[in-house]
Amino acid sequence: MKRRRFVSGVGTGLAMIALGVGCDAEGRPVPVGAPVLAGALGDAMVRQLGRAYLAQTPAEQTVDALQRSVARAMRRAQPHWWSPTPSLEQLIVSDFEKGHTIFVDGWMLSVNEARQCALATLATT
Amino acid sequence: MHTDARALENGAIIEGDVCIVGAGAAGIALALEFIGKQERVILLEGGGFDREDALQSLYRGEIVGRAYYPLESARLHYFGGTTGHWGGYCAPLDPIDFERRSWVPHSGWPIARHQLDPFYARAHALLDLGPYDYAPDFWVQRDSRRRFLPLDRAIVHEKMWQFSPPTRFGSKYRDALVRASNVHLFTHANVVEVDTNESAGVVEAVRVRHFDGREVRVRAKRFVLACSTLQNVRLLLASTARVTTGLGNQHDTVGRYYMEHLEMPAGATVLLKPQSMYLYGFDFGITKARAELRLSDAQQRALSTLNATVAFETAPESGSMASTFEATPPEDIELFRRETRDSMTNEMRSPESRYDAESIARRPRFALVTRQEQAPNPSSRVTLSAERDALGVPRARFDWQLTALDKRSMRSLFTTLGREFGRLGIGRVQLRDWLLQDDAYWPPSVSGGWHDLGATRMHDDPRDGVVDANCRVHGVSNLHLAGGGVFPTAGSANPTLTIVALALRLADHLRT
Repeated sequence: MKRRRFVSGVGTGLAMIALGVGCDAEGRPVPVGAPVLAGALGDAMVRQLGRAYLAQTPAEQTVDALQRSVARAMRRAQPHWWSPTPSLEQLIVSDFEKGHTIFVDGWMLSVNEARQCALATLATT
Repeated sequence: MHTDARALENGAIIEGDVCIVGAGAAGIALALEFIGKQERVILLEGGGFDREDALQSLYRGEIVGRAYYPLESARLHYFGGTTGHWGGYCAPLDPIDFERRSWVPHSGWPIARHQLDPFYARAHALLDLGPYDYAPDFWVQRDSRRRFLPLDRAIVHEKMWQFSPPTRFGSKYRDALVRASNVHLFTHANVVEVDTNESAGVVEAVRVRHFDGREVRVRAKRFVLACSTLQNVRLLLASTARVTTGLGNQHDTVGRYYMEHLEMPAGATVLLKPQSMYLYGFDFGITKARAELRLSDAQQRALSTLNATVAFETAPESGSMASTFEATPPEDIELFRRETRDSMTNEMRSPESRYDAESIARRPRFALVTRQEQAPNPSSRVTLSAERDALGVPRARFDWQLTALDKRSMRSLFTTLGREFGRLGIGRVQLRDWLLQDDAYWPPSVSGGWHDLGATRMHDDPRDGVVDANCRVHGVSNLHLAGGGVFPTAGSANPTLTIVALALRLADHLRT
């Protein structure tokens, strides 16, 4: 169901993923959005990054696992329980500020944008 | 005046007040300063007015350390020296380059940057550069197309470069020197040994030798070796008549601390918010000034890294960008030299690129090329080979070595850049495979800028350097060195501007 909801927003290109909304384990929406890298690197490159992330992260091989990780990161990024959930864009900036980065195919990415690339890859395979 | 030294009889003696050995950027800048003055200057150039294979092959050497460019192709052996094929990149060293940095072994100059500033300004005229102003704001204000990236400048900021046409010293300054009544230029005058008095404390003459064995001696009150870093080392080490270890080498310092700039593609970037990149873009033969990025001094101190810059270069359409050595084989450099013998030609210029926001949006990807100093390393050295050249002088044995600090610094630079670009939403940074590992490994393609530095370094203490703050060889009262060999550290800037500035400073010193 969660995967279907996520994938339902996916059209022919990754940009369409902007319409997709995933859910975390508690049913909360996780706005995975379009990978910000897609505009600059292109869809094929983003998929390649997604595949590379999946290859180097055995614990996050499924949409559910990836969405749970993103949701968990979002909750952790909230300064207080009553604070609004940060957007993925905010989470990415926060990742870079905190050094929460990962090298994927040599690219220094925020861990959560790498997950975003992986989600985009799974959504189109 | 000009004389082809091949016309001189065996045993001839030439006399002057100042003898300059080598007519490259340093030697010519130095000689020009004496025009119209009271000193009689003898300027000795080993080559003629153009490249000759037999003379060029004198520069051939043995490479035993890290792979390097063929030595006989890296430097030019005729009037004008390596300005005959240089690219014209100019920037002053940064103030931090002159400091003693606790995390950089053997760092520190005996002079400060502000002491070189007046000479940098004078060197600008010789190199046909723009105003001596390297403040990025100054250049942004001069061209509305130039825009700053939204950097946090406490961490990463711009360093400006200016570009000489590039000035070919051999073409531009030949007439002035030949016409000068107090400067006597001798071409085809290869110095093979420096003769001193018995204590080796005073140079009495230098010996010039021809291929047929004839010799000429040149006497002067003061001597300057300006033959390029490697050739200065050869000459000092080969001058063993009085001191078996070579001249100025009483503490085994001559030839040590050889440095290159690590000038090579090490990563890439993609910009997420397209903007004008005219401040950072570069088209060879067209661009007059551009910015590269460097870690702030505070960041270098915090991370204990070497000084370096990163340039934005047009990324190849496909595949990876070759190292600078791989991308420019000797035949290409020779073609460039021939085609630009007197000045830049349209054929040799890069096509003019567009760096406006719309164009960047279409091609937001750049290769990142680093220009990094290497840590002074006594094991990176030039010694003499068992093989001799056609004049009987031992060839150079070249052993270029890098250290773990060099690799760690480059990695720190790129990871900091990656983090900053991500944090500020500028873009993303990619590191080459070999830079991802936090180790001391360098790929075979590691390359440089054809910059021979160190090896006759400047230091107040004769145990740690070959020349003093005035470029005088320790222990020899009338022998001075000019050129990049005297640099104690290399900074990130291409060296020609500093070489010329130091030559002008030496001229002032010799005239006082």
